[in-house]
Amino acid sequence: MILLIDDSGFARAMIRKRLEAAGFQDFIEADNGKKALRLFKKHNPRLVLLDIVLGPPITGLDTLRQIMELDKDAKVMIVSVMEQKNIIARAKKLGAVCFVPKSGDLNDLIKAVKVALR
Amino acid sequence: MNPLTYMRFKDALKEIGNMGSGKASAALSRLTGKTVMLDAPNIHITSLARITRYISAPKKLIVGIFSPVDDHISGAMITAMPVESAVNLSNLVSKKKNKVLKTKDKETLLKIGQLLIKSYLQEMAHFLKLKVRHSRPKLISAFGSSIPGLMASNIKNKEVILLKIRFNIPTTEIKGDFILLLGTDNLDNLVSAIKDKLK
Amino acid sequence: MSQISLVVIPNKDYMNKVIRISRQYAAAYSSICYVNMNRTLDSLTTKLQYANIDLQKFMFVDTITRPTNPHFVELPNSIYLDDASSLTHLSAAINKTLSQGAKALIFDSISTLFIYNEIRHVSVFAQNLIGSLRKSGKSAIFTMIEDETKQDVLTGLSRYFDKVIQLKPTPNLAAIPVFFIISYLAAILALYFFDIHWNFYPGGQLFPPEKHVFEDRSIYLWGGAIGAFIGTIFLKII
Repeated sequence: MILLIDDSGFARAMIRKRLEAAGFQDFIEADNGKKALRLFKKHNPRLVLLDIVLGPPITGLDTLRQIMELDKDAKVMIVSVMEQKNIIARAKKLGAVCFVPKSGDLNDLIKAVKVALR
Repeated sequence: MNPLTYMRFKDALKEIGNMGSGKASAALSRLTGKTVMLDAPNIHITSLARITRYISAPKKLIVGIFSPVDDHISGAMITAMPVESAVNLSNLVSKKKNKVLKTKDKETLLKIGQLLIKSYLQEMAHFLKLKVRHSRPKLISAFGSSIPGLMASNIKNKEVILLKIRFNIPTTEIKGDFILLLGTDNLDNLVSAIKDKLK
Repeated sequence: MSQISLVVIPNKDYMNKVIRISRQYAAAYSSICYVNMNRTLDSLTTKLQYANIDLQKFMFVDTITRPTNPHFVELPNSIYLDDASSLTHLSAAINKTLSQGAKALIFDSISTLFIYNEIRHVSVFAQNLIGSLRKSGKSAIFTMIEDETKQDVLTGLSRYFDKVIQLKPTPNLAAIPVFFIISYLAAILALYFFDIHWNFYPGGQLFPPEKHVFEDRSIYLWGGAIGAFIGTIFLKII
């Protein structure tokens, strides 16, 4: 199961379609950090795709921190438009496995998901 | 457009605005060596006459790096900052302590603006698989409340799509807006490009 | 006789005041050179026309239209510059317009010059321009935007002018009746709740209220009026 966390319905739909086309299935979605944490506790997904730019009530980085507190072995991948080095570094320090830019045709994302779920 | 499609279209545009400004802010961050923070994008599809209320530029002097946009989508883009932010940004990048924008500083700001506008529009174009061209940016200074007027002069339609994202660099007193204004004649191109992304 | 003034205008009211200045000048002079540095010429002329000001009397020197609109239509007797930073180009354009018969000058605004030029350079520019205006007996108004004006700059520049006028923002009187009505209703509501508040305690009857604090109902009239007065002042302040 893959948990998609993004406040944009368009972004979630686009990522999901691309991943489904690449053969992945079984998705759950959250449009905010609070809902994401609830779903994470309930389903304990194999992989989390998290947008770091997340609207209220909880920021993307806080959501990441709380997920890692719930399960220190959780695989959280940052999929975001925020490509600034120091923000990526902060996310990695909190436990994110990798960063994939949310742009273009998302081929990098598919590769990264394959590696993460191997 | 029915209300649901309209909301989805706005959501998609918001995300596309995020992508553009994400790239632009990354470029700015590389240039300045600082973290650039972005606010959530503001999207409005409205009449040209009403954009003033949404752009809400301050009633003070601003410096803007301005460029008309054309090809598959047409309109105008501006990176607008209060005067002191523009001076601070130029000083930060060129490691100076000037109080006014001298010729060199204007060139620095133009280069920054060129980079930001290019990053923003290229990302948008690449993502949507559209051709987007922008002219060489111009550095302008104007009263903030006149931004809508000067952007509108590049739009042929009475209806427009407005995408505005505020940025700031904490600890430096640099803040501003990325503003993209497109005529609604671009709607078809945008809608079909967005639909393609969800196929 | 030539009269050269510096007018410091509050940001909030800037455009309205500039329009008022333009109207006064259009009434007094047959031909005016207007230096436009803060908005597109199209937007300025629309506002002037809307205020019933005769555009035929104006010759514009514009620094903003050319860089922002590649397809602009030139107005007759107007000079369009590439940007607002070059004092030399600006000076040449103004002198050309003045020599073509402009009887007065509106310079909107000198604050813009400080974005690109140091105080001493702007001072020299202003001094030279004012000198040539005096020599030819022409009147002028130079505007400054209040929030962009530092006191030392104002003091330094003021010696070149006959008069320095600091304008105050026009109070927004249209809002007062609205504030008064809102405050009056709020006061009446507050008085009413106080009047019936005993009924909220156990045993009280709310519908219709059984007990009233005020025996004399005229308190609603004068109490409401006092509340409205205080409320209006409060709302006006915030």
